[in-house]
Amino acid sequence: MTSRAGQLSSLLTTTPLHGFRNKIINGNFDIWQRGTSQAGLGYGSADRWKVNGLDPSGAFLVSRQEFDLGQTDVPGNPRYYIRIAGSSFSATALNLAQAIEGVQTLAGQKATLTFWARASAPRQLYPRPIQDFGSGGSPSSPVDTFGDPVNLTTSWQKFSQVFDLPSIADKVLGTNGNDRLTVAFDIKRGEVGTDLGNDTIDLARVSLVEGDATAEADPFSPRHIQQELALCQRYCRDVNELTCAGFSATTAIGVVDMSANPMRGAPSASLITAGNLVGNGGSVAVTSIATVTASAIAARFDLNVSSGLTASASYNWRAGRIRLESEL
Amino acid sequence: MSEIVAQWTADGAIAAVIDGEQWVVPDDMGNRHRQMIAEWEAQGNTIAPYEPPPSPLAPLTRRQLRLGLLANGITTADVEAAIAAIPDPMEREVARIEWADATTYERDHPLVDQIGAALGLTPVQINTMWQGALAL
Repeated sequence: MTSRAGQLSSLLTTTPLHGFRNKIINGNFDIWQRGTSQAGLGYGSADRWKVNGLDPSGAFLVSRQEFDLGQTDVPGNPRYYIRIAGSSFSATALNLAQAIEGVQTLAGQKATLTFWARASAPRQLYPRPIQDFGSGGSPSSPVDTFGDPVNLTTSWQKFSQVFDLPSIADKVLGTNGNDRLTVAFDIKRGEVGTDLGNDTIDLARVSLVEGDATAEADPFSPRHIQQELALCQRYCRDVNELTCAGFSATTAIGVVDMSANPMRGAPSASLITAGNLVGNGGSVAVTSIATVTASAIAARFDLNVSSGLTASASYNWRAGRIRLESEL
Repeated sequence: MSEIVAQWTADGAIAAVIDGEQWVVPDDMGNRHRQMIAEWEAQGNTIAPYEPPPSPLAPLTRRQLRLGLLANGITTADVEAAIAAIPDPMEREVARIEWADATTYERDHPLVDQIGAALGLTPVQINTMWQGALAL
């Protein structure tokens, strides 16, 4: 005989109620691999979240903010939230968005977007799911589903909206494999909304789940931090502190990084911090990465120096960092 | 539209500066940076062809090295004074032996940049002097 507790446990772990029901990654803003703030458009701070803008003027700063311990304004004891703060900032369009891999995500279904938000002064925010069929070939045009504006105040409030996401029957995918469901929080979209100006907007605990979850107090459905990090690293991960045992030339050394956590596709690579090659009784400053071959599971770099390596010696790469990026 | 500068690499990737950030981008249209470069190409821009790096500087004979230094106002005594100033006794002796007993000198030997720095020379200046000494 199964107890009610057992039945409930089964329900929680085998149905859409379990942790992966939330399609938003890093909705709790726990992961900030790129840094804890950004002043430019694009990806730059909270993992998976992108700042999009058109014709920007003035300045803004997106940053990680920490909740007071024990606060009860936002449920689930989240540690962080994200803030976008303007400094005489204006733009034709400005939003904070997350691209969810696969335009099939929740297509033809009801979905509930839930989040907590506030602002330094009363203003509106405009949630908008966008079904984007990708690029390459002749893909169908993106389909917007406009939500109702939410009225932000200076206090944290829960907002929950149900969207009927259109079917994607008869649509055509692009050939580049980058189709997606983007969830955008429009601050301004053409004639809709107002410039950020000198305001700040705070956003926390974002979830997008299947069905009508408006009756739930908190449909966020947390995952373990290791799972959340692994999900983020499908799109961005940093490589550092490699041991480069083996061959070397005098001005470059080849290093290979293998990941047990495959990325979405072949990543771009950027040398974020050059570091030093330490070994053979010396330390030589890295100047660049000149060549890279990278796939979803492995990457090979040549770390270049101006001179000073000893051929066939082994080196450890210290205090350096390469970013691999495979975002949508 | 992003500001982009792009050049092919020896491995068939693209070395690019996109909105001020340096990336090595795979030639794979599933990659978002490659897609941005493709849009930039569609506007009439071109990825610069691969250019092999300059050949490494050939070794110098002892005669070429000393004449090259002298041509730039650096005497044998200046070099020996720089070696004598190396604080570690073992490193100092190794440098003295390399200087006195080598018959040819490799540009990428670590001592070349080390002694050059002690003489107030940057790696770029050393390269220029080295190139000049090869003709002596």
